[in-house]
Amino acid sequence: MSLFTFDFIAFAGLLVLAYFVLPKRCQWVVLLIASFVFYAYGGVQGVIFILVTIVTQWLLALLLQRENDAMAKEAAEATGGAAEKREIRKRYAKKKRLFVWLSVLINLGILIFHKYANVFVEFWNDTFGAGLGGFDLIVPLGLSYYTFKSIGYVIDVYRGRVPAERNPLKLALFVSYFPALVQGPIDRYEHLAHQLVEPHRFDFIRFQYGVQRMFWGYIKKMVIADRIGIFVAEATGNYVEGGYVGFTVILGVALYAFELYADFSGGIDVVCGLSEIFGISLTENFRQPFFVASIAEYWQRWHISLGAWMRTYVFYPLSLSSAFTKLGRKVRKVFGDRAKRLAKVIAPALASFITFVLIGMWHGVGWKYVWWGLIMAIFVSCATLFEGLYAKGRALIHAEKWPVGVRIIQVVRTFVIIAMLRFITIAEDMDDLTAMLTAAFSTWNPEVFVDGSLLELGLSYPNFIVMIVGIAVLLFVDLLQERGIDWRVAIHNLNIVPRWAIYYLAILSLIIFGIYGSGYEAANFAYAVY
Amino acid sequence: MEERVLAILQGVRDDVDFEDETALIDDGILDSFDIISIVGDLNDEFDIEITADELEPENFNTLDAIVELVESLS
Repeated sequence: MSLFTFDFIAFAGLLVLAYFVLPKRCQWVVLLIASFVFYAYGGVQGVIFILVTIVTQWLLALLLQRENDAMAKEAAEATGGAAEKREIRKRYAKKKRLFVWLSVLINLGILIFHKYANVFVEFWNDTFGAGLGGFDLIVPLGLSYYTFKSIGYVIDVYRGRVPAERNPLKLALFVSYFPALVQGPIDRYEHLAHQLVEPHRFDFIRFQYGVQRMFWGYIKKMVIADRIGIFVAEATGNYVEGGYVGFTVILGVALYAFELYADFSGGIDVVCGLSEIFGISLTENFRQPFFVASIAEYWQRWHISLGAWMRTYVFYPLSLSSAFTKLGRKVRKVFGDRAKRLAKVIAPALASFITFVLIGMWHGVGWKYVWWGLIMAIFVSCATLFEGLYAKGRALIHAEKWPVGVRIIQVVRTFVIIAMLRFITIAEDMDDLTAMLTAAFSTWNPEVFVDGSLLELGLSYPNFIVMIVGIAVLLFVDLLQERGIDWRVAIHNLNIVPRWAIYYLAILSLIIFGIYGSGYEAANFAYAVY
Repeated sequence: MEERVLAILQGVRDDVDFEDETALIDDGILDSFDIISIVGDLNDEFDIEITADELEPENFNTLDAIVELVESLS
């Protein structure tokens, strides 16, 4: 069920009603039933896979809890001091790791199978001339989101950070909570689980804020993202010989960065808004990602929950693994104090390469995603490795005397890098990427900005203006947030006349300017395919 | 102990006021590379082993939290 259908709005409306009318102790059961109804709506096959995840993670977490309890008991009875306790922890860690690996193998296995099975068959057939038939696979809805969420839960139980959930139905709700199934966010158990099962009273202000946020999400997706999408599809989809060249393609790619942001964050606004009505606060997935001064900062503000998951469960463990720390020491030993900085950075840099390649592969299958991850890692690692050099550069231009100017330059530079990396995301494969880059950078045609040719790419003049105004509003709202102003509180504090004027304007803009596809469904979310 | 920890933190990031900041991680003041550097230095200085399990925001948001973490592992 797409978030942008009347079906969904009716479903959400009925659910809100049931949630607050039925006794509070039933609220979490209502959410669980709703989640499975929502899930089954997309096909029964997917239900089987999510059930496998729920059952395996529930069982393995309970087994881990048993080990944790036994370990704690033994450590409490130990008389040999810290050394003995460390020894006890190490002994138990061995067995506990087995359960974590099982959880990762089973659940990541399902994910990898769905993403790579047909790629592998194709590779096998191409290499060995075999005629293996492919699998008829439908990727279960939200597979990578709930897989990551549930693996995070098992690792947190392993670490003793959260107790294992004994009630399988409560864990089922954490894994399958439907608003977060479509495209995340990937919440941590300690943040979300207790909120899902706690009773919540109806709160009108919260209801109002939730609806406002959902509405803003609908505008972002249907008025802004889907409108930009028309231009982007045309400008970036026709660059073979005789197609679009130069600035037309570059503008298409740059606008794609805005399309993706409006699309992805719009969907997140809808699910966060709906959850807010229930009294459940999902983790934020975006924090004004275009107002950043570096790629590293970008990753603290774009798809925050995926970045945080990767940092917690991949980057940190890798960086601090004995193999990686030994590498740092070895560099120091071989190159001496001159390589002090390199020795410090080498382990996290290497870990960041692996992490970003994994993030790339999470987005899709193919070499282009590997390259995308590698380039991201190069930017992040270089920023740290050459920090001394950058500091000298800043001193040379007396950056401290014009901080706002420097920040603007850094923000524009980072946006250019982010937008240009979108070439990789848009291109079908590496050959396609080369063709696209050639088309974009082999022709100097700034005249397209004034000769009206940009208006022949699917968007009429009024539509083009709506697109530009939409992007401006998007950035304005982000600017308000960046300055610590919550736009919903600001609207709430307005007098009744301007407040309702804004509401009417928003409703009218959605009705008049929304892009409705066949059957009044908006285009699919870009991030709903992961 | 606090002075030694502070010296390590300032050695990694001399542009941060560690004594007054209360959300070093939550506000994005320290990034993940800084954390790994700090952990490496703390491990060497105090002969402890901070593992990935301890790399959670609440252990690194303030100077006091970091000192507490080091004390708990010493």
